[in-house]
Amino acid sequence: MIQRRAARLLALVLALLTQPALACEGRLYEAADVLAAPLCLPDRIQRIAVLDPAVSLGMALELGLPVVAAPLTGMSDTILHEAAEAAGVQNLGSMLDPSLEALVAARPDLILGAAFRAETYLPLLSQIAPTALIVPTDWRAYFHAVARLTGTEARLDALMAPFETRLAEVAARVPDTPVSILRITSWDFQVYLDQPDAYAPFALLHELGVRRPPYETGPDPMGMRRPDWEDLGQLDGEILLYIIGGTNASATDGRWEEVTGNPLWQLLPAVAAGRVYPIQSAVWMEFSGIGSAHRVLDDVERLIIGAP
Amino acid sequence: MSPPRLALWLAGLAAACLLLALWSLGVGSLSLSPARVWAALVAETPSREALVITTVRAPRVMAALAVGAALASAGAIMQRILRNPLAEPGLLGINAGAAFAMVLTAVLTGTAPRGTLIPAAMAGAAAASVLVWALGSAGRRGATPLRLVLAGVIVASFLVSLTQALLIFNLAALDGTRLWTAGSLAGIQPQELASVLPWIAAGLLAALAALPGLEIMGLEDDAARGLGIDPARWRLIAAAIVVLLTGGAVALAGPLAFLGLIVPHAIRLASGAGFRALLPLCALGGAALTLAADTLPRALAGTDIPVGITLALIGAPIFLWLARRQGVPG
Amino acid sequence: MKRLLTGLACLAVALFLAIALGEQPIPPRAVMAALLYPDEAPVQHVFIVHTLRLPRAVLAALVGAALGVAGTITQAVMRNPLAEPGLLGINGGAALAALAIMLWLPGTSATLVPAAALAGALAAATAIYALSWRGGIGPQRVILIGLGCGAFMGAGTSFLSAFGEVTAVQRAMLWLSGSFSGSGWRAVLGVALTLAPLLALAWIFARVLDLLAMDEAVARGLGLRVQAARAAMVAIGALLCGASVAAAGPVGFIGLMAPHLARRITGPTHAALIPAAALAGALLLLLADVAGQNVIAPNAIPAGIMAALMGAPFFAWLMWKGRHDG
Repeated sequence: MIQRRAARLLALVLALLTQPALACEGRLYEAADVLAAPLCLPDRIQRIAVLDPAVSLGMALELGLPVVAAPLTGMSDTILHEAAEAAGVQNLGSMLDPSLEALVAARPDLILGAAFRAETYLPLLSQIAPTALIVPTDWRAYFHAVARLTGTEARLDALMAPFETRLAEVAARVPDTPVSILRITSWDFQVYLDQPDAYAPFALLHELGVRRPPYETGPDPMGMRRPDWEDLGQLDGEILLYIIGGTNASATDGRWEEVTGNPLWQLLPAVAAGRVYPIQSAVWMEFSGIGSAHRVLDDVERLIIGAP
Repeated sequence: MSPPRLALWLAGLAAACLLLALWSLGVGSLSLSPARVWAALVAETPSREALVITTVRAPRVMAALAVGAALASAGAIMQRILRNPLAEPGLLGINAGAAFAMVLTAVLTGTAPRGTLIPAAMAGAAAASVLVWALGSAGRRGATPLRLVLAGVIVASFLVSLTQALLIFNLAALDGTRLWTAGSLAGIQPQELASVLPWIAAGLLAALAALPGLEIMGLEDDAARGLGIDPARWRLIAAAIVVLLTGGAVALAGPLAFLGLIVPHAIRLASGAGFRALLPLCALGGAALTLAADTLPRALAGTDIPVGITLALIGAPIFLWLARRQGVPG
Repeated sequence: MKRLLTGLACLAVALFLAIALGEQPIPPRAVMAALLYPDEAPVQHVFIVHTLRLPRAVLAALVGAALGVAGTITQAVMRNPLAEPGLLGINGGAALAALAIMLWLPGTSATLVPAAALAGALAAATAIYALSWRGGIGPQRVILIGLGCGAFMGAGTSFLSAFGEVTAVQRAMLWLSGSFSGSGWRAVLGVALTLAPLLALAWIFARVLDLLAMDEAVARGLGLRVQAARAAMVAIGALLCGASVAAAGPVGFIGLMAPHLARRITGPTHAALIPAAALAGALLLLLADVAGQNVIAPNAIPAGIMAALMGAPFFAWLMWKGRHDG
């Protein structure tokens, strides 16, 4: 009895799995910037679940999309977190192991995420709702993909046009001073490099023409270097911007005192000249869209051009 | 071992430690020959090189020497007291206990495991020792070598699983401990060294002071009693020394396996020393080996491979060879 | 027969628990409805029960059965009741090979990882077998050799974890703890197809295992080609381990507990022991997964860690209990 049922269930599931792309009842999305294209999307998208609390969540909210679920645990960007909660976004847990059951319960009609993170879950996710895993990692291309998927290109253009204007304007005023950027965690140092496929905020710096010392310039397959105390001396920019805290406790657990008390830190040119300024982890490590991009420009204007 | 031979061996190993130290101080992103190291250290005005040497490299070198000496001595003591050629802190779960206690404290306080957490390390080492001893010695024949190793492996797997569970839920902690859990001396700070060195020094001195009693403990319990010492009491003394040494070593470098196993055997094979000579020789030999293992990958390939991995890659084959050769009793 | 039925009933109860308990609370009646009448029950319940919980539970049961049988084989061949694939580093070899593929060739995971795990398990088993060989397999030497090999593989795994790319390593960490997260029916099919012939073979060769567990001279006298038989059984055991590791990462201790539990019920004859160990293993791992998922909900403890947390005390109790045997 149980065997027959199980066989029936198995047959049903197998049939579902092997169902070819039938005539799509909604909109067929054929652009190559998502995995497993073409995708069949519903005509009206009313409930979106996103798979990461950074670019996917931020960009979706900025485009005014109806986001119903996202993995919010462990975010350090409190502003985005509050915005998400205010918008009624349900928490799916942590980004690395989101609860699929909660995802199902959220009844999304589109699931959005980055291909490099969620690729292995695609078969399972596709059974819950049409799943768009976006391939390009460049933030503008990602934003375009999200807008194209949801038919909000007009809104995107309205956001991007003033940004690009501002970007050009700020770039014209950026001085030739070399700038070093360092992330201080509780256990090591991290330098995000200036290279073609750099992480969004650092790619923006490159576009602005901010010069960085040779050590902080790629290319490196990891996109990031972890200098030890000896290598720290190679961060010899005239200005030093540092990121502390965020998703680790380095701001509060004595690490800052340990770093500033070390003579090798004090030997850095920027430290000796007193041109060391903090920048926020929420913007520089958890880049989430146009808002973050504008805040990067703010930091550049305030700390590099403005040169207090 | 005759005093002149002992003196020769001690001098030789001490010289090896010094030479390795001088070499190791010159290894890093800025390569310095021993002559330049010396010059930088004795120069009147401290140059940048001198600063790097004193604040970055010297603590690491001293930590390597201390950790090596501590673990090798702990291994020699354990092998003597337990009358078990395979005893060592890693195999018998003591390292795992100290490591788990440190990770737990680190996760609860939101920091990374560092030398300043040494009280936790000691507590963990002590707890694990008690557990392993209770388990391994429960039996008609008492703590046979195999029983003890099995007990150690069980306790170690249990604690390692608990540690893994903690790390999975706290990804920031995972990134911070990735290297440390493999056994690493990277990034040792002078403050850590200052917290831990006194304990390791105390342990080593206590071991030297206790040499006569420890040596007698190598006999069967009845024979030991006949010679005037109380086995139970001396087992406790030995355990306390081992906890001091292991707790300190794990606090600095994380769980390093095989050191306490290989060094006593290697020294015994090479020099034929009896226990009284063996202990100080092990301390120096362990120090030299650890320093060499920590420096070699950086010197040869420029990559900083955690010393625990290097030691395991060398030590596991040696352990295998020993296991094949020994034909374990019991 | 009665014991078999009781065992199967326990398994059914465990399976039901696995699909009834979970992060989204679904009352038992609704679970039954979703299970038996998928066309009428709410679509969310059906999806959660059929596509998320059921395949995961079935996979846990299959992997548990495989590990239980692998443990039985290992204990018979190595003639040591404390031998088990996890302790002996066979799982470690499979995990090392699989991890290497996951970190160096990330796009090919689905296809290459299972193959790598199988190859790794076989390689490790061969190495341990060869190294333990000194005119025969000494039961105690085998455990020590296994520990040494396991430590060596562990160092290799640490090396890969320390130098791999951070997000890939974080994802791999979950897998390395023995996790059924994200398992779907495709994984179940793959595992079932691999395990079925292996389990059948193991059962067919039950008599051979009985003979191997005896003294070598007696076995030879009874007409068994001991070396060939031993090698073949070790290979089957290693493949079972490799398939398990490929599906769920390295899970230890099940291969130790299941045979012992089974032996208490059916006795040492392998014809009955093998199915019983399979059943016991399935039950244990299923319970470990259910416990791990629900004990500190909404966080999940991977099944492998739960198995160790349950298994280590069990092993300890075994040693404590056996203390009068010396």
